[in-house]
Amino acid sequence: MDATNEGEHVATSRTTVERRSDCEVVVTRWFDAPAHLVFEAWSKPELFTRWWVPRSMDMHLHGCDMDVRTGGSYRLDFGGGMEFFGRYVEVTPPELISWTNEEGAGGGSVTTVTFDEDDGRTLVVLTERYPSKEALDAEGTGAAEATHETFAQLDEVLASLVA
Amino acid sequence: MRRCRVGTRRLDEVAAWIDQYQRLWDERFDELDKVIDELKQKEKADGRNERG
Repeated sequence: MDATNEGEHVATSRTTVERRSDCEVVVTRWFDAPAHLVFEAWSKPELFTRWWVPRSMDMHLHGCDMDVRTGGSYRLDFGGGMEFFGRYVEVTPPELISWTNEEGAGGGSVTTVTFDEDDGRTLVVLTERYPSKEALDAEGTGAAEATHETFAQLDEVLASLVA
Repeated sequence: MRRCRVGTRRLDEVAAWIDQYQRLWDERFDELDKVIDELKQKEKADGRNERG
């Protein structure tokens, strides 16, 4: 399936979420602005902190250090010892930002976001890639992964019914 | 039949997870829209100021 296929889920949401493989989740969304502005909102801490933490999550950023350049590091501090941190693997303004997520049980995942401008609008494609199915599971994104297992179970049930 | 019920529960979990993940990004991107809109307005205003 083509993640750049705009409009596929337009009826329910402007954001599409797709499992690309056992270890990969892809999120896409169009923005009505040129790529350099989307990149700016993603790479300046004072702008980034305004949208990254959803209000419904009841979490507040106590600190946000972002050195958005290839090899730079970042640290988001939510207080109470909860921190998200990692390193920018690649930063190419205004086209791409790729960073590691080094906290938590699923540590070692890499998130890559690309900004693809077309006629004044920008397609954002965000890919979360985990080192293994297990890491993806541990990160709490395992439910999608369970689809395969569920269908395997369904196969077994169907097989037993046929027998 | 026991297997069948377990399978159904797992399917519910999958749907719930995808739903939750989608909602997280929906929320983030709706806020991002607002930030980007401000940047757009600012850029327009700056452009006008430079010309004027």
